[in-house]
Amino acid sequence: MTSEPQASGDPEQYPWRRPPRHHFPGIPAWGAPTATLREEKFDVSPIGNVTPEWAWGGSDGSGVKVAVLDSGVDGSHPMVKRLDRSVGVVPGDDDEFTVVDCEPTDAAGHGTACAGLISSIAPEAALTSVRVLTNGKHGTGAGLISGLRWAIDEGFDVINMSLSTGKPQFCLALHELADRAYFRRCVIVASAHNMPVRSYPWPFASVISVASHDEDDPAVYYYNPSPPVDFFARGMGVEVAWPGGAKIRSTGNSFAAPHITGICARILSKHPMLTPFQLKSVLYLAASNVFQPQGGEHASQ
Amino acid sequence: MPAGRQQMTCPACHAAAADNARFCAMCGSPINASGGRREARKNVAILFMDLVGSTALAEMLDPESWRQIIDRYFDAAKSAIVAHGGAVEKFIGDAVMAVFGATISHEDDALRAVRAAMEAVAKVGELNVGLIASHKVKLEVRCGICSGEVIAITEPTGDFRVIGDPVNTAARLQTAAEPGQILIDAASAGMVRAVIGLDPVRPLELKGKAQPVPAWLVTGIELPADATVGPAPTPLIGRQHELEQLRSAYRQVTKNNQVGTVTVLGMPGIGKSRLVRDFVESFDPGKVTVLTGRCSAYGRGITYKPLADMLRAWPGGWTNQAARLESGGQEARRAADCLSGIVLDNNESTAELAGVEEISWAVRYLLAQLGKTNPVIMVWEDLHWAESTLLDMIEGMVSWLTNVPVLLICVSRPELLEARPTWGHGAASAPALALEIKPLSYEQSAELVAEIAMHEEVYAHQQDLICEQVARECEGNPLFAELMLDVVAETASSVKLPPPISAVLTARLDQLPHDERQLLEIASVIGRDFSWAALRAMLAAHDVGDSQAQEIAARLARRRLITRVSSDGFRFDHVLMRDTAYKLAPKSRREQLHLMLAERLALLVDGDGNDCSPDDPVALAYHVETANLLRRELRPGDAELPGLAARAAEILIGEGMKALHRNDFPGAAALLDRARGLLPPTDERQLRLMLYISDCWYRLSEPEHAVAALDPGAAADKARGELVCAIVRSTVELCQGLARPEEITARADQFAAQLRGRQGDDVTWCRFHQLLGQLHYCGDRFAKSVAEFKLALDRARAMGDSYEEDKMLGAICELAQWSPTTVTAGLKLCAEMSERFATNGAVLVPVLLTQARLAGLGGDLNGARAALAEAKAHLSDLHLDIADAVVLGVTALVDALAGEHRTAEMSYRRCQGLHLELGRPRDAAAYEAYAARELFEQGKVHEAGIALGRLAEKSHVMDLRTKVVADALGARISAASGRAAQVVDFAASTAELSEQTDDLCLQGNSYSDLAIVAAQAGQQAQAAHAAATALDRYLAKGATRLAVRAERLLAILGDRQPPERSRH
Repeated sequence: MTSEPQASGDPEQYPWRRPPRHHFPGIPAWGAPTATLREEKFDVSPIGNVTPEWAWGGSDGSGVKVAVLDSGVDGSHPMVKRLDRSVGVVPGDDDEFTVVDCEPTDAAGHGTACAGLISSIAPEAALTSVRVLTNGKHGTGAGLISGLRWAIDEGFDVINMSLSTGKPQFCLALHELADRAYFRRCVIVASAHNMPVRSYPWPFASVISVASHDEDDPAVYYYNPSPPVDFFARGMGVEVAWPGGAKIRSTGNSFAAPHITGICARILSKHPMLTPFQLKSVLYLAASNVFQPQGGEHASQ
Repeated sequence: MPAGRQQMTCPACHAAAADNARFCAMCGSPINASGGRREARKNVAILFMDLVGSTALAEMLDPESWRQIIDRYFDAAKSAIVAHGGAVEKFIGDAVMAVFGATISHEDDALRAVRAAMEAVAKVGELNVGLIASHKVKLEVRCGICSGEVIAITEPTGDFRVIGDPVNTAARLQTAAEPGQILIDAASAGMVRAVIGLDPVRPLELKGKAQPVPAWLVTGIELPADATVGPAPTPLIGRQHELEQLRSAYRQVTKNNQVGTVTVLGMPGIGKSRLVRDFVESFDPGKVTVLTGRCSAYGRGITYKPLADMLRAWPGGWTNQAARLESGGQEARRAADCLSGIVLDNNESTAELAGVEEISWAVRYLLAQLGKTNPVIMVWEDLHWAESTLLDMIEGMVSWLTNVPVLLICVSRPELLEARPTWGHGAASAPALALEIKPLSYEQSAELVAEIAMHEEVYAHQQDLICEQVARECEGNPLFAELMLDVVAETASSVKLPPPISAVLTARLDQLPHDERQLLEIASVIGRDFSWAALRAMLAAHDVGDSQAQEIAARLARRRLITRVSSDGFRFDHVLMRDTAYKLAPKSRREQLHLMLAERLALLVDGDGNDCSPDDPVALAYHVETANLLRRELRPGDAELPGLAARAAEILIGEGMKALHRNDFPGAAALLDRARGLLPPTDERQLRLMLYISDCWYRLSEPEHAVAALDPGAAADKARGELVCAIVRSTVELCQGLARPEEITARADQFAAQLRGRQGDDVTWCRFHQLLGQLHYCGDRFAKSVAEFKLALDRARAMGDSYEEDKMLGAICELAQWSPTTVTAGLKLCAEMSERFATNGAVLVPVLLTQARLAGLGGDLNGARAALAEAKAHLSDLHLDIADAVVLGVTALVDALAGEHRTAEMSYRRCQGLHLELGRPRDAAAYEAYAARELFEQGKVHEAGIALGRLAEKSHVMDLRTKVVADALGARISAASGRAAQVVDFAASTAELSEQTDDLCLQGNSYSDLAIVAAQAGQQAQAAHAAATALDRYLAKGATRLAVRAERLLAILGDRQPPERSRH
């Protein structure tokens, strides 16, 4: 097995987090004088023969920062393993929302459920709760955008969004943020709407979109060959954490997305230099309906 | 039909018939085909009206004057009621009781009742003007209205009576009203609030009513009834194709300068008007003249009402238009006079009304004039209510108008084609299009529901059951979706059928001839899907022959109420229609039909099996059960069961036991509970079924339900029932940690005393031995526990109860993990049980876990992991939380045996969490101790100490085993921190404590720890002795994996100071 490079240096100095240099004299904009300029060093996570074992075997998500954009997270729930920080959006003077630290509580339950599921897959992933659903299980578009922008700028590795807006007026801003996240190596895992309607950001190509399958296995997920939904994960009758240390069984694509978020955290923990496009490929290659166990070991003997 | 009388109609052709007619004057069909009195459940509106203070007035006035006044009051009330389609059921003193919808239901019966009441109040007011002048008195009335289900009994003469709660409620509401007020109930309010102004009043405490009754006061303001006024309430979804067809028809009309017709057909609420509104609003009002008129179900001047609507809403006002026409020559003046007469007619007398032909001509003339400047679109709404005269006039326009661009849009329910099958085929030359508005697809319904219900900007993606249910159940009907969501919003409860939908469907059913309604009634009892064979057999029992039945079904299919879905299968097009038909059948009739169906199914099931489907037995049970429930509702005092009840109960028990063996506990509990309801209370099987149901709940980790399901009455002998229930309750409380073992032991002694005289009572004894087995298990006395379970097994076999037998065998096998049974013997038992339970994954899992643990102890780690993998594979099909937790515990143990202490620690922690969530603090504490132990094994002595400190706070929930594990670990930690000498005695007493159990491995572990602590304290002799004891215990169990460790320990101790036996 190849040894994985460890993420090194100041994350803020990663090339993908710097403002882009879009002009070199003598070269068309956005280009680079590769003939003369010394090639910049950057770390690479090599992709070998992708199997589920290669992708996340033995990984517990440690070292990966996950933001849960939701209703808040009850940090005292036994199913929520590592909650590092809790913030929430609050309306400011001029229709703008600001992000401030808050208590690790969850009045609605939805965020705790999602966080518990992520913990169940990647127990060592460091979770941060970003409360954008300020009114129980719903919130405002401006609040969502502020929370998402904050999470992208904070440099989270994975953002779980088990929510969406059906209002077209927020589509463009969300689209721009999703692209920004993608380029900054911040993976957005977004759940599809539960009803056959259009909403955002899950149908964007720059996010990983997840809907439900009807099996009761948290480890099984499928690639969906017919977009816009990328993957199907467990989302029906899922036992989820609920505030007050309780558990309930609940259904919704909300609960499929955290499964994939957890798997992403485990993959990135093991292969920290994967780009979002590589990560989606790895997810694809290791999906239950794509990955074919070779059986080579036994067949060749 | 002349408005305002309860009219007899012909069941075949719907023609009006005289009150006493026995045959239809139009088609000759018999009227009242049932021949006698008909009883039906009906949704009606009841109106009560009373004079206030009439006793005082009667005293004041001369009886003759009073009689005159009373007569005038009754006339006023009656004329108002009749004008709105109601019927006076009776006069009681000065009070009037009227019913709306008794013989024929209308979807707006509540509205009619409210309008009738308003009109009556107004008429009494007019009456007062004269009375004050002539008699110096003033009459005041008050009204109460209530809508709901009643039984309506209609005599062949057309006389009727209604019986039901709404009658009483309406009377009480009337009493509660102030003079001049109209109070209505919640159901009526729901149906009229879109049209009539209402104010809520405080819920009324009414005489004879347990709960306060919510009521609304009619404020009398009529809100705009026309849906085409005001902003669009809902978006238009999924009608692009229909809109395009309307535009195409309009293009053809304007291009060819001709008259065209589009008939927009569809169910109420499907979105016909909404579509047409979107279409006409797309035009510039200056370039196209749009005229809209709406037909009414009843009222004065009804024939030309839609035309009057059009003229009154004339762009710029009709008076101006009429003036303009009158200046245009003789013909124009004639047309203007004629049409003005129609406009005035609704307000004034009908004396000057022009003839039918004249009006038709005038309309054509007007259109021809209008068409010279702009194309005209005429929208005729609700044309199914149109009088045939109006339909003739519209068809006349198509035939006679030429060279004018006029598009006639006729909006109607499909009933229009029943009344006039040739509609739309009037003139070959004119383009005619029938546009049927189909229900929305599920996707479109979902989009609509999301648009209506989801006002917020951002939503969490947790399933919204209400929205999904509405999208699924609204039948693709936007109005239904909207009304259902309204009901949810107002009552914050589950989705129920809103009264207005129910009213529409009831009205539709009421319009059907008797034979069709009868067929639907029978079909509705069978279900939404019904087989032709079943229906035919049922109809034959009602003297309806085969060909007749086919003909009726064909008619219903043409009406789009039912559809043939296979050679032998039909289904209701709308499930709501099925539900309504079912609900409208009187309960006694439903009971009778359910029993008839059950009898038929019994014949099929008993027959040669060729005609029987696998679902039939369950269907048989369902019909018997439903009949029984209806019987209980109708005759609560009647304890007798239907004839087929025993049969149905057997079927349910059979299905329930199958579910139980599959470990489908919720299914089993439900089926067995249903079976109990069909068995006499004295039946022998009641007791066992009750115990199984309680077991199901216990296995579902719901101890409260398990205890609640215990019913001492299930045994004919009450003392016996109470004893067995007390035993099972104690078992549940013991296993859940709800009662302390000492307390249960005391109770067990009492049970034993009570059981002394009951040697033959296998059921109770079997449960008693289980309780004792559990008690010993909790005390870690495993050999004794096995002995009790074996006694329980004997009892289970004696009573031939294979369910209990399997349960006991499983328990005995599981106990082999801890009991003094050797690993080899335990594994042999596991092999036997695996074979026995091979087909039953759920029972197999504990066996496999036992096998894994034993194999691990015996040193066969691969065998252990293989058994675990198999257990997990079975679990993925099941939903057993507790089993998940147990699998994890055994996995951790195998990992620990394999030396993978970090993995084992994490698994034990998860185990601890799972048990906490399942409400099992005692087990959670045990796993917490194991996890601390695994920390220590990783060399994390400090962390292990902290973990142990946390555990110490939970000593009250610790059992003996956990205490031994924790104490031994505590001694090891202290010893590792250099305080070995101080804790040797403590370690020794811990080892002694472990002797209280008969778990050889636990004993071995304690002695092994003592050996190490003693060695660290420099007490080599004590250490060697302890190590030898540990080895001895491990070997007795056959735990070779652990024995190897003990031997190694012994060898190390021997190097320092060789034990005596190895000197030679």
